[in-house]
Amino acid sequence: MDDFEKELRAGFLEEAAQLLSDAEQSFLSLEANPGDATILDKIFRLAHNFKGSAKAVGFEQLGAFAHVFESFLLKVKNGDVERSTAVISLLLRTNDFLTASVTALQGDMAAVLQDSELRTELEAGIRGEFGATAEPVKGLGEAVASFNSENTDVPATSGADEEAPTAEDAVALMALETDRRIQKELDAIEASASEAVPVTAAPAAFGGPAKAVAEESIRVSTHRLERLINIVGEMVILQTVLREQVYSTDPTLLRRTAHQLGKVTKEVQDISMSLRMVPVKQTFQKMQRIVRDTANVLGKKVHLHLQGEETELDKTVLESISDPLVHLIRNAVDHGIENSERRASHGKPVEGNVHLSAFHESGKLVIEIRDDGGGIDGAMLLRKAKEKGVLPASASLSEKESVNLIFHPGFSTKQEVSEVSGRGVGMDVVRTNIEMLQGEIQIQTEVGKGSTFRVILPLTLAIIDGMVVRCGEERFVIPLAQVHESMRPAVGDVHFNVGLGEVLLLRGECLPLVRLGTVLGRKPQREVTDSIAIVIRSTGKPYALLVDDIVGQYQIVIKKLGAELARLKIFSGSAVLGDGRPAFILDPPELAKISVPTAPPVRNKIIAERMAS
Amino acid sequence: MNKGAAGAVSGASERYLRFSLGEEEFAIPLLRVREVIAVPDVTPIPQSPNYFLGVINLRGQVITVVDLRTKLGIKPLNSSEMAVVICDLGSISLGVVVDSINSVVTPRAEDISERPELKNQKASEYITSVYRHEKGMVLLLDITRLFSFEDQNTAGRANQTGKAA
Repeated sequence: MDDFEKELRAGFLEEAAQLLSDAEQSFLSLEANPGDATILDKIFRLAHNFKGSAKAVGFEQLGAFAHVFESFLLKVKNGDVERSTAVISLLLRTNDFLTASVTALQGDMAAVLQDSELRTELEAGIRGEFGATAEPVKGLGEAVASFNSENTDVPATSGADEEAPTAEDAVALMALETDRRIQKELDAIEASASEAVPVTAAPAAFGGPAKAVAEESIRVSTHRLERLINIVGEMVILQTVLREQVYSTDPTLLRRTAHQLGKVTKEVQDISMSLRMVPVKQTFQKMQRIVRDTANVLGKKVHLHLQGEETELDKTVLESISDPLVHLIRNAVDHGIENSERRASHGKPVEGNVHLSAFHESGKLVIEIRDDGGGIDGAMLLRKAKEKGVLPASASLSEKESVNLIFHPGFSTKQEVSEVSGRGVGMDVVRTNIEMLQGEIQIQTEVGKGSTFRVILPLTLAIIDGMVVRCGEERFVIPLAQVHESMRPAVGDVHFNVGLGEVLLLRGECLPLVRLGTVLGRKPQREVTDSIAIVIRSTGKPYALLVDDIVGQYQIVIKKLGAELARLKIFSGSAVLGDGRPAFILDPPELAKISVPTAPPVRNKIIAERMAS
Repeated sequence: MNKGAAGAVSGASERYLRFSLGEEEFAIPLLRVREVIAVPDVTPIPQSPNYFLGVINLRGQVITVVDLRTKLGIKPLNSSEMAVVICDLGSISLGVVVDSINSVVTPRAEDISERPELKNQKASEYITSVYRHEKGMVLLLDITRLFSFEDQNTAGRANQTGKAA
């Protein structure tokens, strides 16, 4: 196991501990309201996440056990198993076992879990034979005891009788144990196990039943931190210099210091912003493993191609996007890529391809998952939805709406439940998680050709390079990434055509010309030859935006628009310029949408209307 | 925090910031006021209703400034005492231009009466109640209602469709 893998596993264990403590709370509330379906849905999601992540990082045994657990949960969810106290107890014990396992694995990653006892019980439950329950304490105790012998981290009590390790670990588990019945039985054992104190410390460290608020932390390279400290030191010195110079009569000295201070401040800003940003690399590489393992299980050959791994994203956003990405990637491999025979019969190479890429687009981060599989058949989805009773039989949906059915909770397109996916929990979780981040998910699909999932995330903290342009007295920012080129049109470059509106002839290409002033509702301004045309190609259709002048290029800190301005779609945000005044950041794709070239008489009419109102 | 009409009538000890719009006096709950600043340079907002004066940079935060006088149809005085009241409306902060800031008042319950029902007055739906004092009367404004932005959103949509047509 290399360091990287170890890191992944350690990360998973930390996450798992949190998932399990969430799950425990849910089990308890389920006991209180057995009828509440939303609680079960939540538990189910947690278990599903747990299973997926465990497998992804290579904890096969834990994953396999979680799979059994999940299957049992499904029975409970569907009402095949009665939600009695005994069932809840079993669920809680399973949860405790998983928690203990995670703790043990944190000590020693090679620990082998003795899960047979609980597994048998769960499997019996799945078959519908619940009731022949093993004595809870025995099951738990034994599992933990055998656990203990494999685990180098927990000191075995030397010369203790057979019961001693059981007691010891049972006490350890007490921190999490909520089943009163078990607790009562353990009370007696606890009294005789005073040496158990050091062991109790381990589970207590990750919270216990009272869910501790996880302290958020971030890993920053010491190199970055040192640079920050150095720069701050420089700033302090400059401040001292400045204080001295306040009394000097030489303005050039002062100017020079101010200039230097400006440079240093910019550096401080850059570094401090970069502290929160982490490259998507680690998350992306995790996906390699997922694709490989998923493909192996399914007997498929799939290649994952990564792109834009260096793209940086706010750490908290990245963490929350990790699980949805796992789902999307698994889905691409499982549902997207067809099996080898099918691919061969469709004349495709046997090896499937999944492309995972990250890039910035108009101040947003886009993560794209593209597969060359079979695509999504909207009509088939619609049919299934009707069969399952998700939709009334009379419902008619557009192709796009049908495809979006995959986001419906409890909807799975797979004919049978596989180990990999097909329980229908994935996509609605994916969408919920993404929407929680103010993001958006889009699907493009073509039957037989493949599907593309685009996850679009806002970069709230981002700093971008912006081109500041002027239109009349006002200044606007265009994200530099959107600017393809800028030029001053010569006489004869701009033509008017009744069908197209104004067009700019650029090296033989015909680009629609959009006057920014007109979009903003101003009267036609100066001559075209006096203005600057900015060519935008990032949108589907390239166009030229006509502005009065270019002011310059600056680093822009994006500020979100308040709710009162949210309807102004042509602006993606605002920024404070060098003179301290705010300016709006234009969103070129939106601009292209609202300014469909129309003939001038119509435009003039609108302007006239605006003037009148 | 949001006290409706009933709350304002009974809750006697609430404090209000009294200001003038044109010749008239208004007041808003002091708890809604974050700060009062001089009128700064504003950057106009294209494609927005006429009472949207523009955006300002308030110590790194970009805040929209609206002109209540335009919104309520009051003739501005444009006095030298003009100020911007930065209001805290929960999720958003908003600057409101006023002709002058007068004082902070704590009206007694018996001095507050319910607003007269006048259906056709543009501003009446934003007025929660009326505070009478020796020199005249002050209209207590429901600032959250005033800027709920529902009306403005529909106005925006109407504008858009007008454009498309």
